[in-house]
Amino acid sequence: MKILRLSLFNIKKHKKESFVIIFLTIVSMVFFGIGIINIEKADRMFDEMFEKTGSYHNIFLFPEKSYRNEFSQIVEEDERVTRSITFDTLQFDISTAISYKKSDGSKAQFQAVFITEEDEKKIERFEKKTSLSDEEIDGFTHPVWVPYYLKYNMGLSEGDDLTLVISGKEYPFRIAGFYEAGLCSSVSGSGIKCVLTDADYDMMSAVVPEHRRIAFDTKDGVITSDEEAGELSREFEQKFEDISGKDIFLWNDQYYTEKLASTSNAEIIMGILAFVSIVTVISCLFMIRHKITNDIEDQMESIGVLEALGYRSREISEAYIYEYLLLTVIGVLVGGIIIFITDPLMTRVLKTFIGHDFVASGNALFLIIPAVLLVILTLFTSLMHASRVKKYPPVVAFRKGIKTHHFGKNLVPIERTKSDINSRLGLKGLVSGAGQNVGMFVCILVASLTITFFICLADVFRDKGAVFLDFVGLEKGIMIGFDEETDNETVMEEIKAREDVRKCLIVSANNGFSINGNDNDVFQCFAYDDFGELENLPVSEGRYPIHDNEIMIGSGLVKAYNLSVGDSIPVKYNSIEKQFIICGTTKLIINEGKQGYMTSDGFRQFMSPSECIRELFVYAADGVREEELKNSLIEEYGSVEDTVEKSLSEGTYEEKVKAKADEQMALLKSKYGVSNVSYAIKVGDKIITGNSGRFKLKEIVTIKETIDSALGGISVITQILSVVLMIIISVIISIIMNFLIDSNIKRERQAMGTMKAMGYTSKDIRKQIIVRIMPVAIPGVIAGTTLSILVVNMFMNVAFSTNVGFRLFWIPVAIVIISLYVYVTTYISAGKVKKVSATELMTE
Amino acid sequence: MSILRTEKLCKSFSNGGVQQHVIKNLDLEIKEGDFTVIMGSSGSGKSTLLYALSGMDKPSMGKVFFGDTELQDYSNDELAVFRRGNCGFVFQSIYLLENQTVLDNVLTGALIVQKNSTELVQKAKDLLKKVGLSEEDWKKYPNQLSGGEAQRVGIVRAIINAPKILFADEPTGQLNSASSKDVLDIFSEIHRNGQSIVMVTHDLKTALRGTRVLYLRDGGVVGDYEMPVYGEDDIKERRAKLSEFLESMGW
Repeated sequence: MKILRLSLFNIKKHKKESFVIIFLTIVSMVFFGIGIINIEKADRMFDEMFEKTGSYHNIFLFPEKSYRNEFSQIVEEDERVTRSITFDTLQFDISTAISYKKSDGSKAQFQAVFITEEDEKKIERFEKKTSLSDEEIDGFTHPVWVPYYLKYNMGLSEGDDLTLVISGKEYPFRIAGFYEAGLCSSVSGSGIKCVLTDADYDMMSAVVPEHRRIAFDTKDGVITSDEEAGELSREFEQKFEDISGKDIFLWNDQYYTEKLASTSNAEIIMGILAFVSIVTVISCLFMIRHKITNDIEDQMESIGVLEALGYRSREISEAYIYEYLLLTVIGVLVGGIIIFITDPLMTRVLKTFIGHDFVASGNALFLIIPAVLLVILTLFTSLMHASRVKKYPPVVAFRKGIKTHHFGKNLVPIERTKSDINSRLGLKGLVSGAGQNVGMFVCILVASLTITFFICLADVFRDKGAVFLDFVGLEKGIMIGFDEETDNETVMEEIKAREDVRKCLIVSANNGFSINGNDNDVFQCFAYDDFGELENLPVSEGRYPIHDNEIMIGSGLVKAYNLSVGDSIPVKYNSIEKQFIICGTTKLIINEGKQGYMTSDGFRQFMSPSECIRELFVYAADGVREEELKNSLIEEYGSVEDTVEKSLSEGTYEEKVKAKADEQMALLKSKYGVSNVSYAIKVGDKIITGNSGRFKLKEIVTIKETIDSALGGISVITQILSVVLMIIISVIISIIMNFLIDSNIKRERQAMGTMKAMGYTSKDIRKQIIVRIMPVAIPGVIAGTTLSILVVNMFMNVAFSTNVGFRLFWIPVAIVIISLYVYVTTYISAGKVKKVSATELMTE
Repeated sequence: MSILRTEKLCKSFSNGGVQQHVIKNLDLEIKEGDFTVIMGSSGSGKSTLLYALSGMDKPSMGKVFFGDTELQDYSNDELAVFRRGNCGFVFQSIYLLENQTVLDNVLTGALIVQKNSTELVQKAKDLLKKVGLSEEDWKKYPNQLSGGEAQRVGIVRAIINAPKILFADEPTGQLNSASSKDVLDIFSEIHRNGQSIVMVTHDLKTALRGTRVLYLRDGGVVGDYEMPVYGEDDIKERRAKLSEFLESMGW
């Protein structure tokens, strides 16, 4: 009890330092706790959600042409399978997204899979949730029920328009409500299930290909991992191929894959928080170590007195240990309360990342891990350093540890001062504080690493969703799809010649390519006249195609067929097969890396330009905003899509009539696929005529805008989180520097007073402090920022399977900024030396 | 010629909201080359006066002239710069810098004023030798020195810049009699070499080394006694006369 009183006295005496240690413990506890509790929560919630839906755990997907009725029998009769069912969905190829327009007119894309309510109920419970009344929903012409992913991740609400745009034609659905889906509930699988009425399903089946699906569950223990699911899938695939006598393209939507994809983003973010706690824990332990050392030196005489009074060294050490344990326990408890209070907010964040609706609270038991870890680390650190008290028996302590002071070689003799005495004295202080330097180096290294990590992360997401363009290798600019009736070559030439256009690139693209005779593993191939003109397609190995028999392939194909640059492979499209040489590879994540690139000449060996999708990438000239250019192009060439949305409220009567006629023509083209419309309207004596030939553009989109609306949300959250954490770490750096300098000033108050008496100014002593700290801080900053390259790359690989993203120039910039920040913090903190006065040496 | 002068010098401290006037309207003049000893009972304001005279502390009111320079309006940093070339200090608690060797301690005081380290190192070594510290001692740290040795280092540190005036605050206060004598002999010698000294003490033996003794009471100088340079007169007679003066002051 007496010892505990000593601890309390120490806490009371050093209120500010005690508060800082509590604060760092709180931050450590909160970050670590939130991280760990939410990783567990995400994992648990997904399982609970999946259980609640009653969803099947596996769904095979076949393009209709490759499906055979025997397949479902094979699955059903397999002894490992407990239940199975066959049903239909409508969708394009895997990963082929459908454009949609939101109520605010913005555009985005998602992988839509259409299913009837009857089929949806076959595979899971399908519980509709909506805030709308039945009457309101009945009033919708084309209601659609969508998974919660569209609410939390894409920001849609009940009653919102979900106008799908397929081949330039609009399909105006409206969201009736949401439902919790097991599989096919996020972008991770073969698509997001949208439940349509039977009539709408029939309507969509005219434009979207039908696919067959087999859903099945297996006995417990048959599939316990992603890998095992893959093995089973391949086993069935082999059986299907044996029956059909040809290669089968089989996609498996699977519980483990869905779970991994749904929870990985949330777990990465929570992992980042836990990672940040490493910085705060290290800082906190460093401060405890530093403070115990200082306290023992400061209180040496008191230690001597206590020992003389009969206290044992162990008991005095215990006073220090209790002091820090007490502070840690307070920090852990307050941190725990904060975690508890912020839990609903974190659940909301998790919902955004996971895209599922759930009510959940964190498992408080998981808080034991950070709490115990923090207490153990504090106990270990304080035990290690407080044991120094043993070195000071009473007499030695009275003499301020004279016998234990080991003065080694004078490494920085003042007599060798060549120029500035302050630098020399600072250097002398630097070499005499090895323990402090190591601790400070580690703290600054970890803090710099973390700050640079967040700078890079913020840079990756600097331009909302733009980084995803890099991931998928899409050119940044305006993409134009031409109306079937348009002489696109002429229009392309006209656009190229415009002053507000920097350049144009024509891309030809088509699905349905295959290699090595595997007709069912089809992929998309892109063709450009000159790949050198591309601005956003990175080559991992080799080079772009130059000759008509060269192909560059994605990493997915490289992996699937064990290919490398220089290999010769047969490339097939429909019945045409040609031999190609692999000239290069790219690591882009589009379509899981299954894509190819060839020259336009190479492409023409398979099809004529009229047979493929031909789009134009238009790059705005320097100083021209893409939005301005887009509007100008629409103005000149007319866009079906945009004319539908527009209504003219100003202008002459004749202009208004023409605008209305344009709108009606655009509607006919977009909604009913009419190829050509002419009109003649008599107004008074005047006849106003026109035809749909003015609509040369079918679709015109600013690619970045599209990506921004789809993925901007996650980008913004990541950016905000990066900036907030960056600020927190910076504040922690300031606290550490301030604490360090403050305690050094306190400890050396007398020496500094003596120096002031000798004529040293506050500025001189400040300079000494800076010289003492910066040679340790700068290498710490350099090491930390440099190490962050590895960490960022590791993170990008884990999170996005790519290295594309941050700009390397941020590393030197970060070194300069963080060094300057440490310098300024040191300079400001060292200003406390002004309070040291020579009069403190007065003995009277 | 006066080196130091005060006009209506006042110094007060606030103690629990109560103002304590330690020095009151003091007019004083210290002459160049004098060895002035300030004496007085405990709490009479001896050290306070010393620190105010030396520019280590600012007066509450009044003026302090160092030659023709008025010090009271200087900022703390300006006072520090002023002290560099003009003042040297010897403290009762010595205050050597603990992480520095003897030689480093002396040079730390010197290199802030002069830049030529080669000359200074030689000068420091000469002075250390002169006060009886061997080459072996120069490499020692303060904790490895006796009190007398440490104070001799303190004196060398104070005089290495050849200050215009040397201030000493009870320099023998923590020393045994043998060490005290050694230290006082050094003071006498440097005074004979022309050094102006202002020293605070409550010890008669120490006061005997001075040429002028000021006696402080209630914040003012109540007695001013002058003596010949130490060693130029009979020591017994010197002691008797000073004792008589001090007794008359109520010491």
